[in-house]
Order: sequence, then C-alpha cells, then structure tokens
Amino acid sequence: MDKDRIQDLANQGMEMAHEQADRMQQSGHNVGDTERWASLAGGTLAAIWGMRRGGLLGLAMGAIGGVLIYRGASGHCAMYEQLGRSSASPSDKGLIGDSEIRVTTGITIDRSPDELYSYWRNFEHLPQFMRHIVDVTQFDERRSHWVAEAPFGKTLEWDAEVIEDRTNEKIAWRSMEGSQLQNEGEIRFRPLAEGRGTEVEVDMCYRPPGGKLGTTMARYFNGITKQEIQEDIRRFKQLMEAGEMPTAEPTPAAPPTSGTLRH
Amino acid sequence: MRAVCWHGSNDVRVDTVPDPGIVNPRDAVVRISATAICGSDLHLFDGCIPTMQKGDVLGHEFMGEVVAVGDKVGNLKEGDRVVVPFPIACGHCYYCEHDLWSLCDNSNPNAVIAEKMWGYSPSGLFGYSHALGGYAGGQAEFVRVPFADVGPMKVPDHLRDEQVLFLTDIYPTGYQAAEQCNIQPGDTVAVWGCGPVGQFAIASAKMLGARVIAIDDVDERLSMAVRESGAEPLRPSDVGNTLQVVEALRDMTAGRGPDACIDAVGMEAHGLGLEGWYDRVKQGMMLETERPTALRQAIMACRKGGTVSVPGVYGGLADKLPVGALMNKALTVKTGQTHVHKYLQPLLERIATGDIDPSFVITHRMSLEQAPQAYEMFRDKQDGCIKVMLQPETTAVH
Repeated sequence: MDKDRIQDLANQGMEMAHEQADRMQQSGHNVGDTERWASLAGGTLAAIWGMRRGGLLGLAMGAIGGVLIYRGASGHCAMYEQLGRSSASPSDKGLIGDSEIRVTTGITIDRSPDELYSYWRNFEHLPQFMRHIVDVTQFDERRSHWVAEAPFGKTLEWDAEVIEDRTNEKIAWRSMEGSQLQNEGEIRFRPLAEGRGTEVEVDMCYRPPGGKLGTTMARYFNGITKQEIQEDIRRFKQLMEAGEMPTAEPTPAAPPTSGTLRH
Repeated sequence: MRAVCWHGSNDVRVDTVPDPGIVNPRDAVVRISATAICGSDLHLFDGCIPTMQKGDVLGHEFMGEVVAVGDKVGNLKEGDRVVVPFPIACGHCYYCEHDLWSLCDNSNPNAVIAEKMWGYSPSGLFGYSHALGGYAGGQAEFVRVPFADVGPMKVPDHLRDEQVLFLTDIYPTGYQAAEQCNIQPGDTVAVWGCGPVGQFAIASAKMLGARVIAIDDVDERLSMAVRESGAEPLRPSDVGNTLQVVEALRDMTAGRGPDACIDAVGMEAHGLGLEGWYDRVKQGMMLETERPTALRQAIMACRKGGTVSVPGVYGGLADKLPVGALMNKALTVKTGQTHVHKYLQPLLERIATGDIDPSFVITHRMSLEQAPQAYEMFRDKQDGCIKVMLQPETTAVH
C-alpha cells in the first residue's frame, strides 16, 4: 500500500470518529462508560453521606451526590459541555481515561546540540530539573536505576536501558521488565540557523501501576501531566542557558535537619 | 527587616518580614539606600493587576549597597554601590543576547501563568505580581537580586542617590518610549500623561530633537513639562472628548497630526464624559480590565504612517480600540516593558555629563515607614505629588 493510500484511510478513520463523537454529543452523551459508573458509585456514596450528616455541609454533599448520580445515569455532564470536552468521544479521555500518560513537547534552547546532548546523556543530571524524579544512578553507558515520587510519600523504582543513542542528535530509553513504573522516553536535538540555538523535542510515556485509576492518581496526585513535563523541560532550558533555575524565594531553604526525611 | 507589603486594594502596610539571603549562585543581596513609588505601583495599589497576594513586598525602583554575593557573581563585591534594573534578566537567552532584556526567557519562575494570560511570558519583575515571578520588591531595607552578575550597575560616588535612582526604571522607560518614535528632524511628538515616565519621555524626545506637546489635566505636572523640558501644554479638559483632542492636535501641527504619539498613561486613564463612564462601568463589571482613553486618543491623533509608542502599562483586555484607524493610517505600534539593562550605561553618561538631572521629578522625600501615606498621596495627586522617593531609616544618609 502506498503512502497516500494509507493517509487517505487514516483521514477517513478520523472523520468517522469525529462523526461518532458528534452523534454522541447530539444525543447528550459526553461522559464515557467508565466515568459513568464511577459517577454513579461516587454520587450514591456522597448522597448517602450527605443525608446522614444533615446540616449545610450535608445538604451540599447531597446535592453534589445528586449531580453525580444524574451524570452517571444520563451520561451527560454540564461542566464537560461548558468546557467543550467529552470522555464519550474517542479523542478525549476525560478525567479517568487512558492507562498511560503520553506527552510530546518541545522547546528551543540557545545552546548547541552538543552541550544539550552531553548534559542529558548523563541521566544523573535529570533529577535537578525533573520534579517527580528523586534520583538516578547510572551503572554504565546503557543501564541506569531511577527513583520517582509516588502518591502518599511512597516511591517507585525501576531500571532503565538506553535503546538508541545518536551523538548530539537523539537519546531513547525505556524501563526494563519488572519495573514499578513502566515508562519510555526519547529526546531529539536539531540545530537551528547560526545563533538561534537548538530545537529540542521530547516524547515521554508513563504507564503507572493500577491501570486507569493508577494513571489518574499519578496525574492528579503526582503532577505527571503534560504541563508538569513541559515545566521540567523549561527548567532544563533555564539550567542550560542561565546556569540556574529561577526562584522567587527570598531566603534560602532551611538546611535539612538530620533525622527528618522527606518520605 | 521592614518592607512595604501589599494587603489588598488600597491597603499597603509596612511589615516586619524575614531578611532575604543568597538563594542561587548568581544572586546578590542589596541593602536599600533609596527606593521610589512608581506610577505602575498605583495599578497594584488600586487592585488592577491580577495575581497579587497578601504580604507581597512591593517596589521595583531601588538602589543601594551590595552586602552579599553568590559564588557566581564575579563582578560585584560587598560595599559596591549599585542601581538595579526593574526587569530580571539572565543575560544568556536569545532575548537577552538581542538586547531585549525585559523579554528574558529564564527569569520568570511562574512563566506558565503569564503564558495563560499573554501567550508567552516576559521577564520576571521585582515586586510586580506572581504572574511576573512573585519576586519580593525593593521598597524594603534589603532585597535579593537574582542574576546579579548581569543586572546591577555600579554608580560613581560623586553622583547622589536621587540623581541615579531613576536609572532603574522611569528614566530609561521614558527614554525608550522616545527612542521608539524614531524621531527625525522636524518631528512633533505628543505625549499623553505628564507623570514621572511622561516627564522623562518628554525630556528624552526633546533631547532627540523633537518638538513636544505634553497632554495632561494636572496643572503642576503640565507646568513641570513646560518648565523642565520646554514642552507645549495641552489640557484635555479645556478641549473636550477624543475627537476634540484630535482636532486640537491637528490645529497645533498645521493639519498634519503628531508624527509620533506616546501613551505614558496606561490602563487607568481618567477618561472624560461618556467615554470615561463607559470604561469605568465596564472595568467595574470586569468586562474589560483597562480604561484605555489615552491609547485611543493616541491612535486617533497620530499622523498617517506615524508611530504610537506605549510605555504605559496594560494588563489584560481593552475595549473600543480604534483598530480601523490603526490599520488604515498604517501606524507602527512600539511597546513593551523597558529593556533597562541596555540603557544603563548610556543614560548614566548623560547624567554624569550634566545633560540631565533626573531628580527634577522628585516632589516628596519620605521614610519607608511613611509608605502607606505616600501611596495615598501619590494616587490622589495631593500636595502636588509627582514622585516620592523613600529611604529606609537605617540607611537614610546619602
């Protein structure tokens, strides 16, 4: 099959998906099946709790429960409608959706590909600017051990291996079998015209334990979101260009007291 | 230390807050000898700038003595007397390297907030909301200065604080506004607003060879522009609404219109008549964030193919802007926070050679502790107030 034919088929597929999404919107469904069940269950609990407790808070809770039950039963969410989103459409997974978090983002850094590649290639540098990564130990050119923050003060650990390494162009890595947090990533460096720096593109994919629920937890409690990963990449740029990451803290953080650990 | 803190609309207080320290290797800490209240601080005082938080330390015009430097600050040492630019800039990104310091990519830790509001984030600023970094300002006894190896400039001992203090903001801001007009021999520049920035825009436009028309309704400000810079005065309240101001400027320029118009007023113009009420009502109902009378008039009054230069501060969305006039007259709009770093050295030279003594704008000298009264006086233009310089009591010697 030639390329154009594949493209045509892909376009047709997209159109059909959009049409289906439109039909769902028209019939008032904009909440996906998983979320409908979650809304029904959560709404029922909230309503029961609210009725039992009474008072103003109870009344409010009861009302929230009612809205959720309606949302679950009808498959329609007014808030989603206002936001123009839908978890019933195939292109938008709503609040509980995929079992993976996949982010592609880019940034332009006023440094040469060589400098950027060399810094990133030593994964031990990454915790400096990646908020949810606590520590990386590089065993050799290929293998490394990673520790990441998890909800409720826990950590997730895994070993990773470099699967592609093109000097000053591209680094790709992925977690090895048996990892607590399956993930993979890739970073590409493309030089711009003289004096304009380097275009940096990053793909990351995380598959947190616990399937869809785990992924939602990771998103909301752990800050693994597209925005957070973009902020990580922004901090990489700050570190590379300015040599430090800006902070508005007027005073230095207190030095850690021995015996108190963050986790 | 003592510091001027924002507590809400029309509520600033002098509080005791923790002393700042070195946080990053490129930081310095400066003991403030002199600071000032900027017209743009009144937008904060009036509650017109979003993302302020209770307890934020105000102030972005300040100077003083270096008392501590980080490991990577090689060009400053304890005891150096410095002025500090109000935009914070890293010195190594694309924008800094192209002399566009107030657009620095790397100095706003809250860039994501500014990006939501404006698409992309300018540099961080001292004491000017969390969208612009949330940095503590310099209306205080001490201030932490990030990227101190590229920002602060040492000033010679024989120049007094009040002569060099305004290098931190309003003198370069007025100068940049005039420079953006690309003044040619025979040009006329009209300047809306004769507050401190307007005064320096007028003085700079004169210095660059223009004939200047100064527009303001406040007598003492208008007469300062006439006295200090030889501007020709125009009082909008003598003339009337926007179309009548345009007409008056046409008459003053033999039918051509000003070659360039500078809006040194910004988002809180005191519009007259129906137009003024329209903006007040819409701003009050949060339907627009600005009252852009000056900008509307500047666009309408400017000659064909002319330049509108905007040092006045705007924050969000403005209503009823005459875009038809902007497009059909082929106007050029130049604006932005000031690239102060670029102007420090050349403007210091103008002060040193006696071309200008920026202290002419100061009408009040007060102690830091009197800041709350100073803000009110400046806002209400009481007692002929044009510019207030504040000095912390502990260092008020220079």
